[in-house]
Amino acid sequence: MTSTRTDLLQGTLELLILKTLQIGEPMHGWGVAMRIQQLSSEVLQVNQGSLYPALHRLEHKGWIRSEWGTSENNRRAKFYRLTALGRRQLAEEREQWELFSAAVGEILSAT
Amino acid sequence: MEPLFDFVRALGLKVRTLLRPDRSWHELDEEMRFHIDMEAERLRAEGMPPRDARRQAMIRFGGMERQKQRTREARGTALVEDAMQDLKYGIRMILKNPVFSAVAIATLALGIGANTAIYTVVEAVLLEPLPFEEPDELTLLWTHNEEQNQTKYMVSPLDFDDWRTQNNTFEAMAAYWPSTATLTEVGGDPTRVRQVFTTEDYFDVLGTSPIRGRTFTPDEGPGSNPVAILSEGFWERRFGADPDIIGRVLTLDGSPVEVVGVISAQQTFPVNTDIWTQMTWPMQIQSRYARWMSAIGRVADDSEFEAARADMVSLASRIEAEHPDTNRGWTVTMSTLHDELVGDTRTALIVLLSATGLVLLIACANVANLLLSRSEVRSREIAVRVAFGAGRARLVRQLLTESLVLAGAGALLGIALGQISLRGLLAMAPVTLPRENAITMDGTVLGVVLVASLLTGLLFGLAPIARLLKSDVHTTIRDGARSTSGVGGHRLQNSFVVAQLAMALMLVVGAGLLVQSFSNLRSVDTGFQATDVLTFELDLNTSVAETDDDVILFYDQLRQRLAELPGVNAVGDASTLPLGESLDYSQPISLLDRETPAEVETRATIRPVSPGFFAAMRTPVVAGRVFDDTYRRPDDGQPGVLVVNEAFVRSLYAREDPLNDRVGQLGLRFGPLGAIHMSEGEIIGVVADLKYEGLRSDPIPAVYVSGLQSSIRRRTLTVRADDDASALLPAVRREVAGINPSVALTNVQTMETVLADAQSRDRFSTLLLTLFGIVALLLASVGVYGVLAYAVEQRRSEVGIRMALGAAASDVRAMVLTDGAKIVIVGLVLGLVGALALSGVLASQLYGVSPREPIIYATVAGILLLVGLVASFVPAWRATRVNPVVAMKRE
Repeated sequence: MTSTRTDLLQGTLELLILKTLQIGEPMHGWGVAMRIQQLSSEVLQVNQGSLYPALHRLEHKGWIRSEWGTSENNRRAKFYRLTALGRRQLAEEREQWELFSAAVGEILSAT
Repeated sequence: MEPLFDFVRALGLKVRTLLRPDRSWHELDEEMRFHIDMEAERLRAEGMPPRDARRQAMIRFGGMERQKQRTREARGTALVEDAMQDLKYGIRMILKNPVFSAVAIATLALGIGANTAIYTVVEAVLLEPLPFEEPDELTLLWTHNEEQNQTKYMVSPLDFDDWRTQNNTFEAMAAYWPSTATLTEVGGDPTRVRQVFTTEDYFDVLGTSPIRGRTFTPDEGPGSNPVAILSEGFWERRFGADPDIIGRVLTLDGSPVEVVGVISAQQTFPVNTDIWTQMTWPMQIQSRYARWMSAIGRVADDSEFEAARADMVSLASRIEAEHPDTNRGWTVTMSTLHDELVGDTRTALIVLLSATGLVLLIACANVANLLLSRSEVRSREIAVRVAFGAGRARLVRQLLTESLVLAGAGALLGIALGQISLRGLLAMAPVTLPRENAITMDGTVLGVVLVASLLTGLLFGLAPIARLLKSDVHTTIRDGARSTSGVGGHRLQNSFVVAQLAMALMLVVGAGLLVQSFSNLRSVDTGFQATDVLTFELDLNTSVAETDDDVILFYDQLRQRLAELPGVNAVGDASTLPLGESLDYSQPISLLDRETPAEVETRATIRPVSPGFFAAMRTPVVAGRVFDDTYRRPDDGQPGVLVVNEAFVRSLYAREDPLNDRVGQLGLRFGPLGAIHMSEGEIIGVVADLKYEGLRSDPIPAVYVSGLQSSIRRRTLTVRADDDASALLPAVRREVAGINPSVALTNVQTMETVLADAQSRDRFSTLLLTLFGIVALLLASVGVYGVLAYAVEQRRSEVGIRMALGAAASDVRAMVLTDGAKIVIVGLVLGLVGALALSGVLASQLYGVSPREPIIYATVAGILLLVGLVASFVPAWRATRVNPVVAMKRE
């Protein structure tokens, strides 16, 4: 593991999961982790220990929902997809994230 | 719409998780396995050897059990899930060991039930505030005269008027006078009712709110139209809770009164009042000497009770200085209404509550021991679970839940038991139990009982847990099969049994003391024979007997008529019935033919009794003779005659012969109550002391005057029957009605009932404490038995080896018995010390027995020793039946 890979903060992980599920098909947990890693050009490493607690928390909040289905290698797997409630939540969190990162960016670029 | 749907679905998910925790657990497992497999496959695809890939995937995932637990916790349902799982597990464990559980639950229910019942009473009687406005401010006031030995005496109207107008610390003050009246209605039997005369602001002082109508208004003083207020009890009893009662006109002692209000049962004061009316006389026309009213006051908000008392005492001494003739030595005493209502029940109840508390502790110790014994059996199971990674915290929680489930079941059963026994308790309770109508099992009581039960569960649940935390997994698993019990475990169990025995001994000593005291009370010489005597009370108002002579004539005539009834042996009447509600006139007298030393107070109680009274009561005549019909009123030309009691001869005559001596200063008029019509009389006889104020009272000097020489209007008739006293009642009623149909009989009871009532409070405490003592004894002996039986079971192989090596059965038996005896003796010694220390609490409840009576202590210790040894004997006997071969094979 190289130092360029960064562990994710808890709230950030939830935001990324929501975003990942918004982009495409229903996905299983492992797929979500891979996709986040891949989309961030291998910079962001999902701590596998945090993944399932986060997924289940989101599901219990009603932001994502799950279904048992068959995976690409023909195994039974649990697939998650974004709900309408989750979509609304994503928009909100995204806005906040942008506000936050812009603010941090401004401070950092101050001379 | 859709977001709402998502929200509802999430809720459904939570519920499903809670309802089917196993299934969600399995799904989680499957989900994570899938993840690890995918990861392993990816690593393999990157070129890692298959075995390494799988290991690496597992390491990256970070321990499936841990992740599952974390995920579960993230869902926010974990706590509830765990609790439910523990609960299920607890219930399963209880169902798996039905005998163990039944014993534990029954033991707890016994302890909790007893406490529930007694606590319900304590709560209502001692703790709940009185149902009046600001009840703490309510205070009863009495006069008090040290010299004349009058405590809590009544107040005269004139003194009361001074109290009411000149004090600085009371918001208001009211006076009342409990009396009786006859209620007559067209077409109905005349009824005697308990009437209380009050000043007009009486209900304002108490702060009562009528459930119907109103209370008195200030302008309803003497001279206005008479109005009455009924108590709820009387309204229901007599008028069937008639909703149209307000405005109805009743005939009370021949005069009309209009009902204006009804007061609830809780606010009925004095207790048992039927009807309140206003005092019909102004305060000012009475003498200061005639003390007959009761007073109640409400202390002002900004005054303390003690300040009010000081204020009243200084006021009384001012009055004393102004009116030395009538008020010399008279001061004021006060007590709060609550103290007065609760009275000396407090001590009795506290003793009972402590007793039930001890029973609960003993029950607790028993269950703790049961759990300990079982935890040893289970110690291997638990060690295995620890080894497999179950957290100790989780195990503790699980064991506690088990204890709490037991406690909860015990509590439910106990509350039911308490409810049943409460009913029995109240049925059995002395008639004088104060505030009885407030006694119900309400939310507060249930709350307290539940909390107590939970604490109980924690208490007995902690013992096995302490053991668990100390236990060493490795040794337990290794030695488990051999089931040797640690020394420490036995020590804990033994100390529980020692504590049980000590507590049981304390309880049984208390019970023993009360039993002794009660049997002393029962053998007290009352001065009368209670069997076969019917008593009833009459009160003649002026419409029945207008003059004093009419009163004397009425009672004389009635006595003659009753004496002629078949089956009647003797008839008499008396102004006060022994052991009955006392109406006593203790007053200074003068001994005309005898010099008494100055320090001897020549005071006596004057008691008018008719001819035949002593015969009907079978009171022994010690010297001379008693009244007969020839002694009529002195103004009929007859001399005044007197009979005195032995206490009179002892204290005023130094045991010398008083016959034919004269006593003076007798003439008295008790306002509307009647009069004694002689100023002096000659002593013609001496009778044995009769007990008047309770069985514990010491006899005081009494002078009996003839009922034919006094015109007391309210008297109790005493009719001695040849055999069945109650069977005489119809005939007696006919005779009374034959003279005047508007006269009502009240307080109809046999003398045996009167005696039983006088014993009732002592019987009640004695019975209950004895019951608790027996329960404690049983529980403690079960405890001894349980521990020894268990120890024998544990030492089965040791015993087997000993016997195989040639030990005689008697040796083995002696070994077990010695173990038992050690525990029992330590328990007894501790119990004796505890009992000696605590028995002082009982002192006020005891009669004729010292709280440290050595015989009782010795007897009880003997009984407990015996019980302990019997309980040890069964296990000892069982130990000798061990078959060495079988016992050793088990290893």
